[in-house]
This record gives sequence, C-alpha cells and structure tokens, in this order.
Amino acid sequence: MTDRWTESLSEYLDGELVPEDRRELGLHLESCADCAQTLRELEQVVERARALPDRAPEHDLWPAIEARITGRAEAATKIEPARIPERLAERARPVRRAASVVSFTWPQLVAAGLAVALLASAAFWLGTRGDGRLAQHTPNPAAPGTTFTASRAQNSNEAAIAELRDALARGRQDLDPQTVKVLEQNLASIERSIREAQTALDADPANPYLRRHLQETMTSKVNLLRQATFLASAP
Amino acid sequence: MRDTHPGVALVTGEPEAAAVAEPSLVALAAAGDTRAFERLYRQHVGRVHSLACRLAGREHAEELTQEVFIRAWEKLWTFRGEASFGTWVSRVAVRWILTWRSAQAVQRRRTENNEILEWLPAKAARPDVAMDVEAAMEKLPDGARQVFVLHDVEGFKHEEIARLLEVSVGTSKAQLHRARMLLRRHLDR
Repeated sequence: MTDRWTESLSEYLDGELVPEDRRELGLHLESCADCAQTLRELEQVVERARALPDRAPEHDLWPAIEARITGRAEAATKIEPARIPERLAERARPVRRAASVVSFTWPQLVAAGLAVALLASAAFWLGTRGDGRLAQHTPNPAAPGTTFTASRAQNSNEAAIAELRDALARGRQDLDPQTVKVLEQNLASIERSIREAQTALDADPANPYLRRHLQETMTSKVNLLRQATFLASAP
Repeated sequence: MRDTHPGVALVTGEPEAAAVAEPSLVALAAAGDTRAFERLYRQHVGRVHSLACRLAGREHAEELTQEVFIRAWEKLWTFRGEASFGTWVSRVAVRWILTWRSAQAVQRRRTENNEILEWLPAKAARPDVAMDVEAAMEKLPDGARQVFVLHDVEGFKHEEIARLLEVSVGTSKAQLHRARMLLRRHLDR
C-alpha cells in the first residue's frame, strides 16, 4: 500500500505537517482504509518505543569506573575477569582530575595512529605493485561519473579537514599537551601517506586503487580530527 | 527528552542513606566526591546502557557505558543544571557513542542496502508472539535505527538529531519514517 500520502504519515503523527497538508491528509484518512490502518500501526510503534524499559548492564561497571577516575589502576586488576572485558582492565589508568584538561585514551590514540600508518603503507605498497586482484574489486575509472564523484569526495574531505583543523586549533588549549603531541604525530603519518598517494596518482591517474586509497586515507584523517575535536569540545 | 525537570530527582538507592537531591549529588561529585558520583552512576546507568545497546549493539554496550561515565566525571564541571543530570549524561552518551561508531565505520563499512531488510517478514508469522521491539530495532539499517532511537525512544528533536548525525532535517525525518514503517511489520495483530 502506497499512495502520495504514505510518506507523510509520520509527519502527520508528529504534528509536523503544515496546516494545509494536515487538513488534506486528514480528509484522505477518512476515505482511505489502508492509510488509516498504517497510521494506527505507526502510532503503536511510537507508543512501544516510548515504553521501552531501561536495561541495566549485566555486570557492575562501577569498580572499573572508580579505578579509572581515582587513579587506582590496581583496583581494576582485582575485578573478576568475566565481569569486565579484558581490554578495559588493560586500559585502566589514572585519569587526571584536573577536569578542564582533556586527554585521549593513550592506547586508543597510539593504536589508531599505528594502525592507520601501517594500513596506509601496506595498502600503498599493494596498490603500486600492480596487484591485479585488487584492481578486480575496484570501480572502473572510465565509468561515467567516477572521476566527478572521486573529485567531489576529495573536495568534501579537504573542506572537512580544514574545518576540523580550525575547530581543533580553537579547542587545542583544552587538550593535554601530551595528547596534542601524539595527535600531531598521527596526523603527520596520515599526511605522509596522503602525499605519497597523491604523488603516485599523478604518475598513474587512471589507477582506480590509488584513487580509493587516497580517498580512504583522507577519510581516516577526517575521522581522527573529528574525534580529537569532539574530545576537545565534549561537554 | 525523557526527563527535563532538573532538581526533582531524589536518589534513594541505598536504603540506609537519607534521600539526597540530585543537584546536591552533582555538586558533591563535581567537587571530587566519588561516593556521590557512584550514586549518580547507579541512578542513571540503566538509561546510558540502554542507549548504548540501541545505538551500538549489546556487545559494545558495557564498554561504552563505562567510557561515558568516565567522560561524564571528567566533564562534570561543565554541567550547569539547566536540564537534569539524566538529560545531560544522555547527551554525553549520544555524542560519545556516535563518535565511536563513526570511527568503527572506517574499518567496518556497513552499507545500508536492501539485503539488510530481507530479514523482515511481511507480517509476524505467529500472532501470539509479541513484537520484540528491541530485537527488531537491532536489525534496522544504521541510519534509520539511530534516528528512531534518538527521536522515538530518547525524545530528541529532528533539528538536534540532524546536528548530531550531520545530516539534513529532511533526511532525519525520512529515516524516522523508514524505521517506523519497517518496525510496524512486526506488530502482532
């Protein structure tokens, strides 16, 4: 069942239609049993969503939280292993109570940077050695619109990077200096990968893999900047 | 939002302890009192954990819940009491979880396509089986599930959802309608 009004039923339900559309749809509902039935079902979905109960975690998370916020890392090791994911115990470390300063979780940043750098290097090596298996799974660069799409995505990423860089510069004073240092190292690794990919792409503009690799590396940079900006501005 | 009345909640989780108004607990916690923060945690952990389950999946929910409360502790000094602590901490949770999800998406590109929708039968096969909204929500495409949870479960407005998810208001409305239309197929008759 679909008609021109079907897509407006949620807005009708939420009271978000302009008065004229609301009046017209109201009249339609009087004569269309299908739409009236769909509206009733949508109402039930909303009612059930609002009535969903909260679900407490199966395990008490407080001991690990307390260990982190009080800096008593040793307390985390006393937590029953099955109750807390092992990686959380490994990550337990003192958290600075000087709350106005934000710091990344160290292993997260270091792991992210290393992972990006390693993946970028490995992917770059694979892409430039002419591995035909990779090319089989990449889009055809000659396909209409591919170049335009890639170019638009790249422009979009560059704009996002510039915007995030500005936001991060504004919130930089709120980040722990050590965090800033690691962040800059990771960004430098990613930027090096981007430069390499761009140089290779200049030499082989039709290589679909290099196009994708460049795009993905830039996306990694956007995401790292986004995370840093978020942490600097989080409430 | 589900609760928007600052200052009215009383924390009575410990029978032997006198009921303490939530703003007092927040003030104590902001001054470094971990016992006060523990009581806030116990009061609101269910809500944060539910949100994590619905936005990120059960397998990551406990870890994310823990991280959210650590973030809340670190950022407690920014809490101004304009809304309830529950509303504030749920916003901290949403922002943290969505950021986590976007980082995950770099490695695990889960595209929204029609294959994901194939799990949905036309109608419930057994009328006696009540609709399991939670289970059905987990199967929704990512975008539709995020908007549905934020709008219909958590009570966010489309404008705020659009900002959080970096989409247009129109996209938020379209995703909400899509989610509701998919979920209605699981209503028992």
